[in-house]
Amino acid sequence: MDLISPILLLPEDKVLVESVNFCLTVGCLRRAYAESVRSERLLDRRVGISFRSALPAVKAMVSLGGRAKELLLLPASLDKHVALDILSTARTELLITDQPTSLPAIAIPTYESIEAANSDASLGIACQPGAAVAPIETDWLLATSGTTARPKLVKHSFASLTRTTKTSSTQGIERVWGLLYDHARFAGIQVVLQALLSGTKLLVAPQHEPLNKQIDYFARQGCNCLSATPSLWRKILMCPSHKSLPLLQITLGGEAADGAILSALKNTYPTARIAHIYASTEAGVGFSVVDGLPGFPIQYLQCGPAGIQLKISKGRLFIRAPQMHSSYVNSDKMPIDEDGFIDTGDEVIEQKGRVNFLGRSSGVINVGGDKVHPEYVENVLNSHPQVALSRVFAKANPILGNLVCAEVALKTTPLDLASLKKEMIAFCRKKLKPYQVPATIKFVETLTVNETGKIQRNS
Amino acid sequence: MDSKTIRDIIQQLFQDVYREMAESEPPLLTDDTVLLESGLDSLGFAILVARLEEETGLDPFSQMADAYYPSTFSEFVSVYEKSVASGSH
Repeated sequence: MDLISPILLLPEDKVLVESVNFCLTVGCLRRAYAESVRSERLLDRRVGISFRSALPAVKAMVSLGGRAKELLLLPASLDKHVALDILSTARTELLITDQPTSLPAIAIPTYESIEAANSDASLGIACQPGAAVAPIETDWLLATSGTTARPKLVKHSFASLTRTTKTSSTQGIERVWGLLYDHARFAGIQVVLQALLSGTKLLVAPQHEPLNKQIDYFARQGCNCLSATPSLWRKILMCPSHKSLPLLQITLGGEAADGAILSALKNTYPTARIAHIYASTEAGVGFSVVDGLPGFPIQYLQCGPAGIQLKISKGRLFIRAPQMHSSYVNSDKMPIDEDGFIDTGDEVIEQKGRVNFLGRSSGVINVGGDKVHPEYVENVLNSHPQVALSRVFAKANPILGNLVCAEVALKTTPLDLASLKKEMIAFCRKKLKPYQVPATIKFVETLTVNETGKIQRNS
Repeated sequence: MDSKTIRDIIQQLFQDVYREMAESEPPLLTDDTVLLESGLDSLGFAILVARLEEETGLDPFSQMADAYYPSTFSEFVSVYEKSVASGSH
């Protein structure tokens, strides 16, 4: 299966992708594909695409999937040095981008940049259904989120990217997907492929606008299928126009979904199907859970859904999926055990017939999607002249999932603790990003240090 | 909490968090103020909820049987007012 085949079966004037100012019809995508078919320079090469806007990116994906040997999706938001590093690791030969000046061509010897402006160079020759040349098997290269480390590249086949994509469009009300994610990230590409392969319209949110306005736009355009992280869903439910979204399909992914957000969504959209997805860029989509409860049924450990296998080892979830690659593109080994299972780094616990997520084994705190290393914040606190020792930990929060909180043992006890607390938070604010600053600081007499001299993290 | 109403405490802590994060004077909140348009982002409200728990011991969002996310200031206050009312009976 490729991307263009199902599109060729749709009416020429059907709008498939729409943003506030632009739209892409089936005809546009057909012409873009026809153009790529004639372009020898694309065939069997390692091509990268980097677009700020989702519309030309979708056009490029449709044109290149099945034509290029490798298709690298390079998020436009990446730091320039990181982007160049990825291009070099992927040995990209041709980069198609709408921001040509930001990536100097000189860094990569084989690199050639095509400026893909908004020109929809129609050549006047429509590609007729059935006229498509035989597609080749394109490998899709995606960057891991890399919020705490350098992003790594993972190779996917089209089959592994679309393993759980539902292609059958449901009868009755027409589906309209909304895209809130970056189209070049794993979660975003899942939404794009879901919409294109089922022939449903994809609305692209005006990403430069605040979330309020993005949700207003979706509500006006009748968006009824939406995928977002639990943190983003909490924010969506705080936007007044969320009440006007006629949602039929709600997908949560990227973080563990807690019971509160699942029940709030169920109360707000009683007729919607709610699925939370467990996925990683490494393993591809793992599985989805649709029973409205957090975690997943314990039975999945015996018989995993959609051909995947799950096991718990050392308190962590391990996953094995079909069509999974075992190394990153730069040949670094993935954390795979002797049975071929990937260590997801997610700590889990079996409770009353469910497997529930506890957090990351690395101790990293997820604050509404931003990752915080507790040790990093402790180092900053410990550099305050009054601090003897500190312990930084996650505290569950209904709005962001988790917040950073701290316990501090002081060298001496001052008269005015309230002022010291304010001053210490201001001290952290100067040295840390807003989401890294402890939301609350509690002064304690002592902190437990374990036998290896480290702060006891599990209170 | 006898002299100060929960609404007063929320107003006060909102101003504290706002000054801390924005380093400018906080806006006047009315009942209709949309939380995410108040100048405080979702991180700010998350911190406000944590500070309210620290100050009052109330954590109504975690205790609600039917989880709910407020859009406006009056909705936010009423979650806490209900929590105070149910705790005092």
